[in-house]
Amino acid sequence: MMRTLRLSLMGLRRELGGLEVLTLIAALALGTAAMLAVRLLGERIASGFERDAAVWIGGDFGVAGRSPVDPAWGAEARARGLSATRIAQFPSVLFHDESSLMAEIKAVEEGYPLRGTLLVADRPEGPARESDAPPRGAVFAERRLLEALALEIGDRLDFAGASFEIAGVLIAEPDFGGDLFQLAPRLLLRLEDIEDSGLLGPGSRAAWRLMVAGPPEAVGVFREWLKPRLQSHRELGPGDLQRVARTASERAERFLALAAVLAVLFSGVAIALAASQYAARRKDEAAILRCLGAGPRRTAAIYIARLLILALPALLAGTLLGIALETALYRLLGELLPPSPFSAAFAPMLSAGTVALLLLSGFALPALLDLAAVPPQRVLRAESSSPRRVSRSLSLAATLAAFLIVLHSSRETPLALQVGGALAVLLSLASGSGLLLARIARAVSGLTKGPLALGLAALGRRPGLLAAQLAGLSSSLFALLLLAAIGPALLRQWQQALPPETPNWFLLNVQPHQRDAIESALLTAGASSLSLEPFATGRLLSINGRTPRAEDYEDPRASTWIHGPLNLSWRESFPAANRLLSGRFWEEGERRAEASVEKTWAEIFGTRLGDRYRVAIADREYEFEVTSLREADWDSFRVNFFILLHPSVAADAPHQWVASFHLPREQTTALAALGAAYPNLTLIDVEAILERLRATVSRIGEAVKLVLALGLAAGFTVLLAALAATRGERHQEAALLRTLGASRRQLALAALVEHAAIGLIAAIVAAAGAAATGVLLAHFAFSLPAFATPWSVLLMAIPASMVITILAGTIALRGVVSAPPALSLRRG
Amino acid sequence: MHDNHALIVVRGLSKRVRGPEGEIRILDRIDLQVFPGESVAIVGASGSGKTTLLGLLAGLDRPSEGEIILAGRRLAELDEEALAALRLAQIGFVFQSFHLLPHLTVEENIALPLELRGERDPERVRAALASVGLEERRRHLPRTLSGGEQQRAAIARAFVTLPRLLFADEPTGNLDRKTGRRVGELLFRLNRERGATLLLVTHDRELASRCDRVLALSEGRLHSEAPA
Repeated sequence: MMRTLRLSLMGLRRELGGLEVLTLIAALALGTAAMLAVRLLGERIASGFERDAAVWIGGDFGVAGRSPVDPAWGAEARARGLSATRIAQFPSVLFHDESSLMAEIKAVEEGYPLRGTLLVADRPEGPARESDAPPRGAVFAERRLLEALALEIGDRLDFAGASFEIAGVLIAEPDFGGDLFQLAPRLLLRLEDIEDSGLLGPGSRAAWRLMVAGPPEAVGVFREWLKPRLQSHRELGPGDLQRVARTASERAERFLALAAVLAVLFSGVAIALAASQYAARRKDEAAILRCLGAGPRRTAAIYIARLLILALPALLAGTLLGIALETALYRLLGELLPPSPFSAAFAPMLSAGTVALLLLSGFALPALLDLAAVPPQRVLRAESSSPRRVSRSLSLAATLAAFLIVLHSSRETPLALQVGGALAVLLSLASGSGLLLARIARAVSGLTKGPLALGLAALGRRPGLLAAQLAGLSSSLFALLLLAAIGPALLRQWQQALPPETPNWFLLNVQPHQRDAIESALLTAGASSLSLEPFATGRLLSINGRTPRAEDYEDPRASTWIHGPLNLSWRESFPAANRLLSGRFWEEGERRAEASVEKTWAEIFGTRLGDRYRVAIADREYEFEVTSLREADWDSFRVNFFILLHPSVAADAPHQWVASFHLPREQTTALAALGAAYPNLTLIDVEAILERLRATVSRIGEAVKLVLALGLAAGFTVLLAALAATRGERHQEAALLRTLGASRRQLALAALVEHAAIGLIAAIVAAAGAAATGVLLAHFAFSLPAFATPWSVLLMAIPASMVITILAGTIALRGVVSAPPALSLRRG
Repeated sequence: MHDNHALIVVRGLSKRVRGPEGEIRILDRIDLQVFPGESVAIVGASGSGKTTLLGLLAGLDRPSEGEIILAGRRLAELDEEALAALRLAQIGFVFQSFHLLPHLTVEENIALPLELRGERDPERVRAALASVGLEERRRHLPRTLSGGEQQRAAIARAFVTLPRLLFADEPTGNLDRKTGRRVGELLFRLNRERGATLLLVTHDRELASRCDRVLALSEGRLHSEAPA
């Protein structure tokens, strides 16, 4: 072992200046840095998201179910030093004098809310203040509830056999959750006041939650304690988050993962190129070692040890770079993440280290193992070559293994598969074009003369080398284009998904007879992007004739829709911010009992075209057939529905209208007048959420650009490696031509022809690949169907690539063209 | 002398390769014995198969037919690892194109076979450097040496492990006449001093004539020549 190590170390210092060694170190460092930075940040985002989730769900950990939460669970949590509160939520009709109203009752225990802030006001128009849960015997009520029941602060409300004092106007609860316009007005009171009322007994429609907060370790221990006791309850998770926040976060993680996967994959390509160049230059050395008495195993061990020794500074540099990058990313993301000190978390470090080692073993090891197979007779005959079958299959297996691990580490398997698949197709295309170009060049070179003939002959001479060269160049250009053009275009597209006219107000409870008047009032007030949708609240009765049961579906949301209210809408035309996935959306004038179902619903219930649904709205039942499936853009801030009916199905059902529109801040006084004229209306201001989302997108955009820059650097190392890979060959060949009498001018022109052809083909393949991958990513990874390929940048890349290739080739050959041929030959 | 005493025994050795115009027989049923301490030169025209024969005898290549016994071991029975171990223990090499490792200094190149054996003997390396007159150049890289100096370094590397057998493939082929003569003298002096068996492949009749035996290779067969 020590012997091998000593042999590996001999002369290593002098190897460090070599271009291929530097490329290998740089590529490995970049790959490690990208993976580490994104994993570290992922951990922070996850913890930040958990904190956010804690606010959305109202605690660090929670369980939910349809049956009452055992009070002993809360007692156990408190005994463990945690704070805990039980919450029961259920719809109930409230009465006051002659008025009645369907309300959402939320009963909480003392200590609520555990996370986030409960905001109440002392009078309907008064300023909001932070508050604890209402005291026993008191309630907080939403303004629209007070207005509908003609109640005022200080009045008493009879409910559940008791009398409650209206102690405040409920403005906001942290665990608002759900969707913006699906909630009835809420009434917040203490669970202890109604627990014995019979409202929460068997058969009640109450949804129960136990929320717990405290130090993470203690929460973790309690969670483990509770797990085996859960039967009809489930843990609350990110799925319970507000959908808009979830989509933004998922897309952000996907962008970061894309950037990291690209950086890692291109690092892999650069490593493979650099390693094969390293190995090619050391074939003679390996043959000498074999001849002097090193067996194949020892030879392999020497080069593997050398590779690992070279990897050490790369890993160190990559780790430092990764930490620095993560710190920069964290600063860029700023307030989007909760303040958390950097911790050198073990898991991301281990993961990045594993990826780095796999990059090495997958992309570098096969080339180095080839060295162990170099036949020792090469010392006598330089043309002796090693059998490549074993190393090729090994190379394939190792590359596949490395790729799979990268997939796993990036946590974005479909995304990495798309990019990896595109890269594989591109490499095959580029290699194929290389072989074809060589054949064409050979056929045509005889018909030409002078430098053109020399250049074409050079292209036709070694098809294998040309194919490898084109594969290297195309993949590096592909990386650069993907990162420099497609990535930013995707980001821009995402940012444009929230244009200035995005609806910032929702208007609920619009009665059918008020619809036209309100529409015209809003338009007069200057509202834009106005959309008015009818909606009715119903109940799901059957799917294909069978009554759905919550336990038949894995997704806990199924239970909510099976037991809870179901919002249905209808319209003549296909809705905006939606994409048809399958089936056919009805056209105006057609009249059939059909419906269009959104993808999320379809996935939860396994809905297929042709399924028959039966729902009840008020006292009437409606049946319809699913004729199309569509995907809604949930972060478009438009009103979207899981189930859209043909107008002929349910237009006569009792319904309301919901409006979404954009109104500039300065014109909101017009809304006050609208509120006064129609007191039943509920206005919801989503400007703050919209602003936060815009800020999120913009900051994430900056963060992604930073990781993209790292990928770009990895792409450059590929370019460097691709050019370095053929430098030696060209050097030798040019020197020979000089010796045979070619003039400098002829050589320069021949090189120009050769490099221009290589640059042109590499750029065409890369630009086409980048454009196709961009469309693929936009549609399948980021759901941005309106993505516009940045053709101008891609087309500009073609002449740019030719110039770069010519320049690089010229620089590589500069020495040999001007130096005496004999000297060049000796050096070569 | 009897086979049992020979360091190299070759029986019916043939080597055929497949060329564009069919199979070519490079070596044709060669028999040979080389005894300890002997120096044998193999001469012949370019392409006569001299280097092929050397490669086969050193276990660098495998024959098409026939048997080679080297230091009592049948090469056909040895795998690549065992062949490498045999070379490491018994054989030194000197090549026409020197084959020094470019990233190692002269001293490190000479120490390389010792390192492969797991031995660290700076004294022996220094002695080897002194024996070829390269003490002053010990920290130089091969590319900064002249051809003659590089071949002297290669000779020092070949002798540093005190091998029983030394294979030299055109050791003066890349050197001018004067330098070649000096290198030749050095090779024979060290061979005498170390008592190694020398198998020399060369074009150089003058160099060959210094060997105990000269064998000429033509049309795949080996013929004895009287020393000049």
